[in-house]
Amino acid sequence: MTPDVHAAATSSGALQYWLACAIFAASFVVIASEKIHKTKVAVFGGALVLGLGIISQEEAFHSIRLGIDHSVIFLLIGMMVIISILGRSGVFEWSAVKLAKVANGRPFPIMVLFLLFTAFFSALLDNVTTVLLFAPVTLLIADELEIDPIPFLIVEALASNIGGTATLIGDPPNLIIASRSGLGFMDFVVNLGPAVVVMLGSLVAVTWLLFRKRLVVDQARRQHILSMDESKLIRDPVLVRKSVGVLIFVVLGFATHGWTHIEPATIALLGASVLLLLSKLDPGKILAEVEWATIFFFGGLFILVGSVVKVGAISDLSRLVIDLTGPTESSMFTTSMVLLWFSGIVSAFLDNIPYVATMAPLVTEMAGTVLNGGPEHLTAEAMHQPVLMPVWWALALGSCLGGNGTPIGASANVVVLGIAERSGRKISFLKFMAYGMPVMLMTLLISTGYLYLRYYW
Amino acid sequence: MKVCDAMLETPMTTTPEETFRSLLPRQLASRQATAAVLDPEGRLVGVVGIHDILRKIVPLHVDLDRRLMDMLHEGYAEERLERLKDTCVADFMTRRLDTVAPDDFITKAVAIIVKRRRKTLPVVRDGKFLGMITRRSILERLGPALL
Repeated sequence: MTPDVHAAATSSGALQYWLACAIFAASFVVIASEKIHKTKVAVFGGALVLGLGIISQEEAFHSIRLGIDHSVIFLLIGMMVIISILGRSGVFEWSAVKLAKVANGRPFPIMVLFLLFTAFFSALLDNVTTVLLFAPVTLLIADELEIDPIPFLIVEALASNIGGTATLIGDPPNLIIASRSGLGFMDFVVNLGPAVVVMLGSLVAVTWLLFRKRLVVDQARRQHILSMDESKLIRDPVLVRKSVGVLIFVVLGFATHGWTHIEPATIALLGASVLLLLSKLDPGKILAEVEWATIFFFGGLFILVGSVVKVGAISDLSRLVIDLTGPTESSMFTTSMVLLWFSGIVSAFLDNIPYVATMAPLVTEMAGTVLNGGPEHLTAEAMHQPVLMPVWWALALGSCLGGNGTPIGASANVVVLGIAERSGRKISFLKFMAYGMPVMLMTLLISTGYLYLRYYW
Repeated sequence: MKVCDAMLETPMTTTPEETFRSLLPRQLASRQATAAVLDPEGRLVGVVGIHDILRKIVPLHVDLDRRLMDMLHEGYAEERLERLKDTCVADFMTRRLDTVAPDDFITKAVAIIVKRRRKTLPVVRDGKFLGMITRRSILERLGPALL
């Protein structure tokens, strides 16, 4: 290369570098401001870096490192189809009323059972759907018992964000981490599950301290719950059997990925297509319920993040993280702790999906530099080295649990606030924070202790 | 024919502050399905009809999930009405309104009533409420022309 050509190439590279950074930063700011819908911003940002040639169409559509991660996209679509059909079966409402009856119509045991049930289903389904399915039954139970539904709704949102942390499919940040790191469903369950169990136990203890004395009702009110006939909630028992059966097979498929090597997106698509075939429902109506705005948000976001990875900005950031936290081939303790708390605080105020979409490649670049002598030498084996594992878990714990800190930290919180407002009982930003922030800090402290005891002690 | 030719000039009216307990007997006695809600200056701020009252009986959880209607206990509607008795009209009136002007052709009122499935339409000039036009008042005026 002659000196002139080299200089031109360098200046064009610098221009692309700063253009990519500017578009990426501007998109983040506009998404955080919520002035324009995040899907519009991400898709426009993605199209702009494509249009300006910062990233090629080939890279955007076909490169796993730089472009749209189709395994995340199709896993999301597959699960959304399954959830849409499962939601129509009435099985959630049936289960919730059944639980209220198991609790003998007593409000505090109902709250604990709903908390645990929401957490369990949030680990298998997305948090928003779980909360959306549970909130109406919660309002029904509170109405019949003549008690305030707000503590129930807040506790369910918090439990849903904690429960979603436990699995690969529970919360979108985990999907992105799994795809970038190559970690499987059981890796998440085995490594994050124990921490989540401790957190849920602590949340039950907190609700006991806060609400047990407020939640007292007379026998006549409890009788309203006990006399409910939950069988009326199931209009199509065949659909229940089919959709629950498919969900069980899909979860078993995720859990046995280590042996079968069938990827999660393939399992979700298989489950979704089998359920569509079996359900006799109109595919047009079911597919219309897929959250296409979320899917396109992911698509745009992957291209945007790909552009800053390509120009080297993420590498520069990863070097900064390495300088600040000093990870070595033998220990990444400081990096894990900083990542856990930084992710928690950021995710309390910003959407954790774009945050993790940015941080996941940053961790892979950092791993390449520390473990393989440079990001360009990154190997798949490096992604699974024991020294790196706690860093991935710190990112997952921080970004998922941080969502509990504020009403805008997680979509489930936003949904609960919306439903509360419609019911005429507005939950203010500060009121939610009064519950959410201490729970967020509690769960981050538990995570700190868990990561230390399990991986560094 | 114009709207003013078929307009009820003495329709039922209420205020945003009137309670449900006071409005309901008046509404039942007047035999008018909809009352105009007026501010102290006589400007129209909403309408409240039998449908709005019935809607308040249906709880939000049934609105969100129709399956749950089978879970309500006997006597729920009566309890709900009892709880609502001190609710103000402002809390359950319809605020987004279709209105017509007295000089509009009657066809426009008919079109709105049919397309938007309304029973009544307030007649307004410069924000000031003048009267109400109903499906019955329109047919009472149009009917003789057909016979």
